[in-house]
Amino acid sequence: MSDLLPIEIDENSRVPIYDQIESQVKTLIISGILPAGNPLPSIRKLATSLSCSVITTRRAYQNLEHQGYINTLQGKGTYVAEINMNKQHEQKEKAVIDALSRAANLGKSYQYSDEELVQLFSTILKEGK
Amino acid sequence: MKVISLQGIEKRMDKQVHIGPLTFQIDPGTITALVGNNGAGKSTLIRILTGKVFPDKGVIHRFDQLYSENEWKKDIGYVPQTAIGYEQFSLKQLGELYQIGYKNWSKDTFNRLIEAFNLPKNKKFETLSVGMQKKGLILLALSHSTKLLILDEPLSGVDLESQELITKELVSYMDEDPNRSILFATHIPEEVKQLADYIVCMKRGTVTGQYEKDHLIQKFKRLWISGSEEKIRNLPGVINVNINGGYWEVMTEQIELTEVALRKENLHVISEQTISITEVLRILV
Repeated sequence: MSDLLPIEIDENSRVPIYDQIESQVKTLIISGILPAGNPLPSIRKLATSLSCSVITTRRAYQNLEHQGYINTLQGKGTYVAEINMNKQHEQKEKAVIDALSRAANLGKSYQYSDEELVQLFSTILKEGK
Repeated sequence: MKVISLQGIEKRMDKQVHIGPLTFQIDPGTITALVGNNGAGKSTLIRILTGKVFPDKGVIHRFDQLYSENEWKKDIGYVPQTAIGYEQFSLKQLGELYQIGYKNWSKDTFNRLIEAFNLPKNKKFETLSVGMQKKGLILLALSHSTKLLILDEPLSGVDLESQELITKELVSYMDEDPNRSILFATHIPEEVKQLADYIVCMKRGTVTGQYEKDHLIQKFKRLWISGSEEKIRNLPGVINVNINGGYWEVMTEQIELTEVALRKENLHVISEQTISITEVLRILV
């Protein structure tokens, strides 16, 4: 098993690091990149690979476990949990809504109007094509 | 349970040097980096913890004082800065000596690490390079089962490939038992960044602070602000102010406090920058 996860910490972001880890792991699980049963690195290995503390990685794993995305078996390690296929759709939608709300809040904190934000969003969508 | 708890430890070394008061704790399952400039007292603190120096004042608890002195000494692995006293021995001979001293000595681990670290078994220690000696000392400390590992500058003088090997072994050491802990003294910011959960700072013989690493780094920011100098200098959390063109370049160690005050004072932030661990440590020590 690799000790790495394909996630990246943005140190300039105001989003706490545990939150960044949590949402990126969630995305990996929901999109199926990390399938059910897949082992995850220990909190210590993940902390070393991301250069953060185990306090941070433990908190991210606890939140993921609490929401049913992962399971920790005492002495055996942490694994991706089975997520309900019907729920998977809901969770995808929720993940997108969360990401968009964060973007909207950031925009509002910089005094962008709703119209300006909608316009920016459609520009981004067009450019992405 | 606390692995280590120091309360008001003081020690007079000679007429000029006085160490303490030292107060800090180590929790099980954590890695703590001990940082401070040369002469700040890091090595003395380590010698007090390992029982090589007795304090004049204060209380020191190791493993909640559950064990006798003979027992806790076996539960603490110690990697000194230099190999003084080991010069005339080969690693094979040192291994045999350690085996007598430590009943939980693991010959398998010793042999595995000799391979992994690519070290000669039969050469005298004094003929080895600085980096090889360091690897040898770490190997000896890792080859008997312990609950706390104390390392004095473990990666200084060690080549990049060996740094990676050592880091990997330290991570495995922690992964094998969730109650193990590490304390290491260092001058290398990258080492703190990669390995530490907590940072203990020492300055002129005393512990000036103990911080959770990620929390600490996120609290520091450099801001560029426009406004009156007086208002800006009085902002809470601000530790340094410089004029830069038409703007004030401000360093804060309490970004949340500073921001609340910025909003209240209606000051405009033009830009902000994250502070690297190197710069944060330079400010603290």
